[in-house]
Amino acid sequence: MSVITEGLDARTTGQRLVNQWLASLGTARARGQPVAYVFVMGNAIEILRAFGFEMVFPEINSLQTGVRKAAPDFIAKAEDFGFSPDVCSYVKADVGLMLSNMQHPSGIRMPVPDLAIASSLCNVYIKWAEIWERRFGTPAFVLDIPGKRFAAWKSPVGSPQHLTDARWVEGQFRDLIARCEQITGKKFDSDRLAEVEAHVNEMIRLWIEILAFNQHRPAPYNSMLDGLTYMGVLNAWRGTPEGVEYMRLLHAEIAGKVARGEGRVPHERFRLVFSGTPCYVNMRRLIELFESHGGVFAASDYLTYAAGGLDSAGLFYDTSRPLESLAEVTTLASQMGLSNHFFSHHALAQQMKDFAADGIVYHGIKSCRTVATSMADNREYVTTRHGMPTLYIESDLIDPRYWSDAQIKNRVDAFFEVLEQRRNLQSIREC
Amino acid sequence: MDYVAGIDVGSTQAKGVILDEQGTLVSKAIIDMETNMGTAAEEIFQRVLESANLQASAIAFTVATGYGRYRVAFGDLQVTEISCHARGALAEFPGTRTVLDIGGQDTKAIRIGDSGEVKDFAMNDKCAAGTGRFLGAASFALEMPLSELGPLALKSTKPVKITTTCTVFAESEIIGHLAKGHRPEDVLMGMHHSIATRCASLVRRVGLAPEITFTGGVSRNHAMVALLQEVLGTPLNVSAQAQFMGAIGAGLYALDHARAGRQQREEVVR
Amino acid sequence: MINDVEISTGGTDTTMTLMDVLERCFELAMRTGVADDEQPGVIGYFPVYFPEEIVHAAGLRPHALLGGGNKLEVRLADARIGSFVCSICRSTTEQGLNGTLRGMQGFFTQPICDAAKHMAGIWGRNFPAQPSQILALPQNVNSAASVRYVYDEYQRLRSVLAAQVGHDIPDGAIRASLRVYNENRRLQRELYRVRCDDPARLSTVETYLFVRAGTRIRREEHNVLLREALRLLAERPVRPRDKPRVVFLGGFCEQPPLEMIETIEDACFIIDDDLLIGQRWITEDIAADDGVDPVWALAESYVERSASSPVQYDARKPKEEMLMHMLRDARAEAAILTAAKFCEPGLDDQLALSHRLDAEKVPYLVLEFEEKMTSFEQMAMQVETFAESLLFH
Repeated sequence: MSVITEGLDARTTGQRLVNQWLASLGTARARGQPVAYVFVMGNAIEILRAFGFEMVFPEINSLQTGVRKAAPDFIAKAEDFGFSPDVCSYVKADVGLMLSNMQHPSGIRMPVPDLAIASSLCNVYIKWAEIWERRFGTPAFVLDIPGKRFAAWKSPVGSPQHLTDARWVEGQFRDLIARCEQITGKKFDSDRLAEVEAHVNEMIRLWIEILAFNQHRPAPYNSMLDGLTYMGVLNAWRGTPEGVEYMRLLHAEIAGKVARGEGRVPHERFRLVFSGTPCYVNMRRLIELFESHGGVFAASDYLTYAAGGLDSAGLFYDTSRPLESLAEVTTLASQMGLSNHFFSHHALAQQMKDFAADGIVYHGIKSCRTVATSMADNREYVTTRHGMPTLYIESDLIDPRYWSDAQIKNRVDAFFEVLEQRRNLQSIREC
Repeated sequence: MDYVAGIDVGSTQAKGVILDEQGTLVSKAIIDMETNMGTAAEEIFQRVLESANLQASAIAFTVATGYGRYRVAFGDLQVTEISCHARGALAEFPGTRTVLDIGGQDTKAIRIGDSGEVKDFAMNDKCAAGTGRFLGAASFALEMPLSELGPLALKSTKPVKITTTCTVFAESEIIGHLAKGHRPEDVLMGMHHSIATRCASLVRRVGLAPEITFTGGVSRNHAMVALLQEVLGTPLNVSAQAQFMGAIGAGLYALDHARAGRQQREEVVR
Repeated sequence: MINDVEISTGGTDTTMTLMDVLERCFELAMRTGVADDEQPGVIGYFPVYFPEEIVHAAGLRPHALLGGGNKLEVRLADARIGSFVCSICRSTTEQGLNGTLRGMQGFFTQPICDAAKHMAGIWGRNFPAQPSQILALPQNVNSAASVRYVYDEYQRLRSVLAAQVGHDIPDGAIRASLRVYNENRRLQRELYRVRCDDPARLSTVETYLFVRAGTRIRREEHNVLLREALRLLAERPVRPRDKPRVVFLGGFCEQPPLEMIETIEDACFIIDDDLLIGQRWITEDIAADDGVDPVWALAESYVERSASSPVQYDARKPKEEMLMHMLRDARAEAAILTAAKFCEPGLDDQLALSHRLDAEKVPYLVLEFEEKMTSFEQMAMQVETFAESLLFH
């Protein structure tokens, strides 16, 4: 049943969709629906949809505790329980949720899972799933998706290496299907999978165009503010007609802005690329610090990771061979997009060119080693090799203890002074 | 004759300078911070005016810098102390291409381009290790004023390795070493070494390019200067005005604006 | 057939004492560098497990990267690596930057954790002359398709190494390497058995040095050393001691300083541990007969006959069960649960294990360490107090 009402804008539609999704999670158990816990980077949503699972995204639950200012309480509960301060704050917020009788600050009582899929794209996912194993008795399904082995790794579609890795992923998908049949009592329906994939294909097409719209000047949306809202809907409704509807609406609206030359920032002065995750507890404030100087994030690597790599395989599903194709595309998305954290220097430099950006902002996260471990090295490489101005700031996903407003503002202000000085010099040289 | 002012409202101290049309230092003042940044700024402004025997109306332009720069009600413009320290250092040592500023609360490394523009910067302001505060812990543990730490450290012949990276534990580690019979100068030199290593790391992050100018209060510590030169493998410029580098830089930015303003007025008149 | 190699003590004298062997092993174990002129070529690998046999069959020496210990001064790596990252990543990067590892001809890391995966990126950006990559060992070994995948990834490794040495690596060479390594693992298991049966005869520090030495020399040579050590141990006069029997967990990747192990051993017998577990990862002999695909056998052993650690998910090996087995097999009364600072998988497991031990009423001590620790007074006090409480238990 579509909740899409004619005449509403994308933003309202998106909000309604998210609310509907959350509400359905709250009633899933009562309705006898099977529930799956999935992560954004690497999952098998298409298969799960074919089986009718309700999808819980613990990462979204955790980021929402940050947005709704409930994170400190949940994190404190987890640390009292014994988790080290150094553990990922998303994990701790989720433990806090478990210790709060699954009562989420959105008002929904989150259902416990029948199935948890943890991909290898972030090793913490696996440790997180182990916590659920102990708390809920839900066995973890670890989905190993081989990533890029080194920076220059290429895995051309259909090449022996691609097929070797895809075959491995497909084997695991078959195991997953067997597990889903056991849990739901239903037989796997390949046609249903093809249907879901057809919707995802349309979403892929639209998403790639939406990302590209920001190459226009002025950029019609802020990758790290508006983009975050788009992704919430896109993930929760991936593979559904509603998800497609929403994206068509969004696409049309943004296309309209591009046609009218309407920018996110009234007087766009600097275009920037963002690397890292948001600080969900203070994202509006963080963006404000940049927008107040006329700076807009035209692109980010976050919109690749957190959209599950929708844009990165460069492929659409072949719905005539739905399972094989799912494995092939998933493998490529992993290798060409989702394992870029470790080798992102080239991708970032490319984004700088594609989006005509003036600089890169690296946002390091205290509790996330996936994002932050080699950021400083990456930054050094990009700054030296490509001569691009970069800024490094640090806080956390949702733990407000790591946000220091004065310090971050100081760095942001100084960065814009650098960009201004650079621009002045360039115009002097051009005289 | 127009004058300009540079006000640096930091977290521990407020500093002010007045420069003349040529950028020459006319007066300077420094006070310890009070709880109200706004009144501290007012006070420092009054002091430099008095010292220069000028009225506020004589000041054509004021630039405010430091953490409290937005609390300076009479400031015409706010510029970060990163840009200001770079500008100040470059003015005194025109060959400067890297600035290391070790303050009481934070440490900055700044890379400057050939035209004096800031190319890159790195800061350590979350963790006290690698800032003057680390020495503060030593001062407390040894019950010695900060100014005596450097001269004592220079007497060391066998520095003790300090392993703690946390200021909170530094004190107990120092006491532990003293209890074992290590000499205070050796422990102190170990502390200096610790700071030097962390600061050198910060410099490397922005890229070490000669000449390096060392600013901030800690640059008055000779042991620190000697150690940093050794660890970085290059001589350092040290200014007698090290504490005022931020305010001077702010003053120079103010001078740019004052000149531009006058030029505009002159063009209008013509 | 295993080649007899003389123990290189600088002479043909093979009448070494146990002390000689220990000193030799200590010297080897504490080596960190790889010199430019080392022959044959050296391939470095980051923890935990690496199929050394394939490197060995290529005629190269596999070198386990075990961090910088507590004598290394980190000067250059801090500018590259975030502060909330384990020390072994930092010190390994430092060793790359300060030239210690310049003789390496390749660098591999495994997807044991996210920080480890980053090491490949760091190595590639900073040391382009040393080919570096991730060997994508799977976090899912519970699929029917797992062995095939590991096999394919091992074949990929084989072709990478073959390209490097300029010739194929024949099956026969891999089988020969399997035999050398099977023997090596048997000898390591024997050492651990001696420890378990007669802990006063062989300490954990000694065992550790014997095992760690093998990461710095050819396995053939290590086998000779271990055989000699076992022979001499059997003759060693033993003074019986009465100390509580414990197990130690947390040494699977970043290594605790020797002084830390000594500190614990002052108060307890560490009967079993996961120190350098990657060296003993495969728990039974790998089939090396002619007619058996050696790479398949290697892959299958990884999936079916391997140890456990916080960084390898395996639904068949829940960590709590593994610990309870370990305690039982070691006839140990308590556990020392350690984790390296900032080691997320280690810290997570530490918590789960302590909850289980609470439920089982098994005493345990929780410790955090860093490879670069130099002061152990506080730890000694905790361990002593813990040992005392065991005596009164």
